[in-house]
Amino acid sequence: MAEMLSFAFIRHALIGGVIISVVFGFVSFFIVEQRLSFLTVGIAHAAFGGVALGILLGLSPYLTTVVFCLAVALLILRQVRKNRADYDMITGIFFAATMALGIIFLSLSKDYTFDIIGYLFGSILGIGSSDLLIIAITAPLVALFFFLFFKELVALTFDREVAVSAGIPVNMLETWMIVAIALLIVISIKIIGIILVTAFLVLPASFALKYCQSYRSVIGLGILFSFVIFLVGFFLSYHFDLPAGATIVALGTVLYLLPLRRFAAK
Amino acid sequence: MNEPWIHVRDLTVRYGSKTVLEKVTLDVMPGEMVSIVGPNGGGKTTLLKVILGMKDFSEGEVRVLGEKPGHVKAGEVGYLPQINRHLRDFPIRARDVVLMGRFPRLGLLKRPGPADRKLAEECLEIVGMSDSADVPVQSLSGGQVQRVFIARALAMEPKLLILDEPSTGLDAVSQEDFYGTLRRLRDNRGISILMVSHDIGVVSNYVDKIACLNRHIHYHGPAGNEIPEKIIQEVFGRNIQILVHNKNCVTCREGHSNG
Ligand SMILES: Nc1ncnc2c1ncn2[C@@H]1O[C@H](COP(=O)(O)OP(=O)(O)O)[C@@H](O)[C@H]1O
Ligand SMILES: [Mg+2]
Repeated sequence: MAEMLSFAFIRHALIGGVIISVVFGFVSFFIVEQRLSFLTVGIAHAAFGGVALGILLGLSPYLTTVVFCLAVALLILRQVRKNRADYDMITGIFFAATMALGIIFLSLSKDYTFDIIGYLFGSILGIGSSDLLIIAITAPLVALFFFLFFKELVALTFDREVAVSAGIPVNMLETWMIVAIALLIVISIKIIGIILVTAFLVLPASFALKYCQSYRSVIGLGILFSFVIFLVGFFLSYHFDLPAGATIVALGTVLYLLPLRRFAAK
Repeated sequence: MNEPWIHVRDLTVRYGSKTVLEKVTLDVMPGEMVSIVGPNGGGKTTLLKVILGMKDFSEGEVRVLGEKPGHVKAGEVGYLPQINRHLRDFPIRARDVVLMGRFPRLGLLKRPGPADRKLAEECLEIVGMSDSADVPVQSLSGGQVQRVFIARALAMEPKLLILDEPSTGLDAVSQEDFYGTLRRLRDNRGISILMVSHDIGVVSNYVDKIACLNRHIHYHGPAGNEIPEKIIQEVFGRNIQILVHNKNCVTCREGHSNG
């Protein structure tokens, strides 16, 4: 363990991963309760188009991905509002469209050296100090948003119509919430990967909902769950030389499926 | 002083090319309790949504507490939607649902304090749900959930309560109870109540005015008087006997006045 921690890239991965997993645990509740799981799939996959665009234009993939993902998230939101449609339907359209664009960008750029698998499934040990800096600034900002507007977000999650009628600025908060979620997804893609990031957003609250009777405890247990699967998954992956993102998600899924309730003193 | 709290004049509302409300006119005065009755699809929910600022309208004039709909101060209008699809698997205790009613008045960035909690308790008491304060709402019955949601609306300390079929899920006895509670609230606090109801017979014993709505307002007048048979036929069609068997039933009214 001490030996392991002596490597700077492992320390970066650990610190970045812990920050992200705690924020995921917090935000997860809102994603699950508002039925936004598939939206997070859509935003994460938009990152593929964003990265490919960066390669095509010779720009930093980070920059193009942030712009691309935010644009897609806001476009989905706009279409949902304009057409009074479900997130599912609109996301389904954009999910395919952004993947298609990504493939087109890649084929145009003819750069085959680029690490697709790393983006799809995460490359946690590739976290540099600049990546860590971005995570350490952005993730707390995202958490701060959810913390400051916690009661309004709870109210609109529980009963949107009543929140609107009571004069809570629901549309504005919803827009910012989706921007915050998109940012969180973008900064975690390097660690967990485009394909796996949704699991990390959905598992914590889904797990906690099986055992908790109040939303505060769902959020608390979700954060704990997220933290634990990250740390345990990370060490397991190091020890057995497995891909980290995949190990964490597999571990989380197993925990979710375990019938722990039987053992929980209730 | 005598401005109506809800003022609807010649309101026309369309969904696409379909006219759902036409030239609807309705006033609710301060402290007045008004019920809208009418068949399914008659536009009752739509009218409430226009008043709440949740649905745009094509023609007419609407004022709520002197403002345009949707521009009323946060927390001044309490609303109970028709059915609640929102419960799903949201784990929350009854008392915390009611506490949510405080959020609009508190404003952004403020947390509810002891005074808010106390007020929430009182609202649960008013609707007779104090004993279930710590029960997760998912495990309450439909009628109990309605009561908790009314308590949430009350916790806002609204001037105006807008209730869409609030008695859904209540049995006949609880319905009487429930309307009695609303009436007492009105009497004690001087709030105005506008509610949609199906049981025209029961509700007319409690409210000040009844409006029959089926695209048009067919009758808009004091409750208790006999609503002309012709109007009822026009509004509801043939199946009306079931609904209005006691529309002006003196025994019923006397039976309930001591409740
Ligand atoms: N979102 C909507 N889009 C299109 N038509 C609608 C919508 N909501 C209601 N309607 C139509 O408007 C009419 C009135 O509906 P509503 O106000 O819900 O009636 P009520 O509450 O009296 O049963 C119905 O014919 C219904 O089909
Ligand atoms: Mg209705």
